[in-house]
Amino acid sequence: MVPGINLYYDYVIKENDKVIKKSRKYVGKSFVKGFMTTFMNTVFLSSESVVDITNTARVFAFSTYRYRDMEAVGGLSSTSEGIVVGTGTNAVDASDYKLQTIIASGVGSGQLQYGAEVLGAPTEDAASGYFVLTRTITNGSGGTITINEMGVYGSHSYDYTGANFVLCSVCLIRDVLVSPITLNNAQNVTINYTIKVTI
Amino acid sequence: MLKAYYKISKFSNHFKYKIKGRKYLSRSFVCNLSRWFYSYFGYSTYTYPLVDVSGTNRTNSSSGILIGNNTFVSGYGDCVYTSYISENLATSGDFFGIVLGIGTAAVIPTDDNMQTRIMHGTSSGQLIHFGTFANPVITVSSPNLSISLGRLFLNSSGGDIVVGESGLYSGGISVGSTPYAVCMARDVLSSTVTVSDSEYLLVTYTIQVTA
Repeated sequence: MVPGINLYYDYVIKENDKVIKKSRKYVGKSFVKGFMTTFMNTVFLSSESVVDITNTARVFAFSTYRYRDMEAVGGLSSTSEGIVVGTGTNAVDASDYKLQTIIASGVGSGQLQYGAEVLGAPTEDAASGYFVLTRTITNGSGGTITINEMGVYGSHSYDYTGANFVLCSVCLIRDVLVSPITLNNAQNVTINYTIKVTI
Repeated sequence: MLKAYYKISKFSNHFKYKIKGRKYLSRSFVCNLSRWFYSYFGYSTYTYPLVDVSGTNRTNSSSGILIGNNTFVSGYGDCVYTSYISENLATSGDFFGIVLGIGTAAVIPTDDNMQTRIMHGTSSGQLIHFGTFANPVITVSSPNLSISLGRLFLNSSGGDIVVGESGLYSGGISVGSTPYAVCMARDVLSSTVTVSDSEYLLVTYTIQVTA
């Protein structure tokens, strides 16, 4: 295992609590520029603009606005934060600022229901420290949906108006799946992203 | 994945190369960095203490800002190192950024400081710490993105100093408005570097993401 911050993902497909498929753990390859920029702005107190998922460059007026840098725990139905999935198959590029084709939240055709995300407490052992983001996504669309890509969006505060921080969504991670996930109607998939520091 | 490289070069007092270091893969982001990311991803809903360089757990304030004013970069980019001396060690620039030590014990993930930190100063065993500087622009060389930072150290102690370890301290965690230094990375050098009196060391870290 290469020393550094490694990324992994795995998933379990279920239907009525019956496990249909349990994947192996895959190496997630792809922290993208949004991650690097927010990380750099945070650790260097720099003000490099961040391109959000609408392809808008967000510039910080002030370090004070860095109240929330990469919150990635998506709430129920949220596709602006946390683990998100899509149908795109384009290879990952370091400058990707969003999933190629995100799957919207809902029960309409081609839509999936995003559950609330959970962040597991950090675990530490003799060679590493890691934590896991987990989200369950359910297909209530009436048809089959194929997931080809997934990633993590983070909320990023860049302004302050009327005593409130103004947030944008930034793509932190994007992976094109080695093996697409076929999710039939009434099935759900629980996705785990592991972020692991290894010495 | 995200990885880091470090490089240590040595110069004479006339800035002639004495050792032109090569780039080594840093092995040693420690658990604090994982906890730090956890706290960032989790924002105010999920909190987990980081351990500061004194070995004390630090958790977030009620405002929910777990890590404020966090930076590897010393606040003294002008390199007026003398300004450090009168300042509170908990917040002064020489306590943040790239740091060095004489320890050679192997890194373990729960390391929360250098084994034996070399302090700022001109007394025996001390190195003058200039400000840590950073290139605030991401270098794009697809599929890699990288950022870099560096720090210059000067030996005015009158004797040799043998450097065995280096690392990154962040002014990482804010309780109220008080930042505490947190060790995010520690590397034991592949071989020790002896710095004689009046010699400079330049230590650089490159942090790289590969898509």
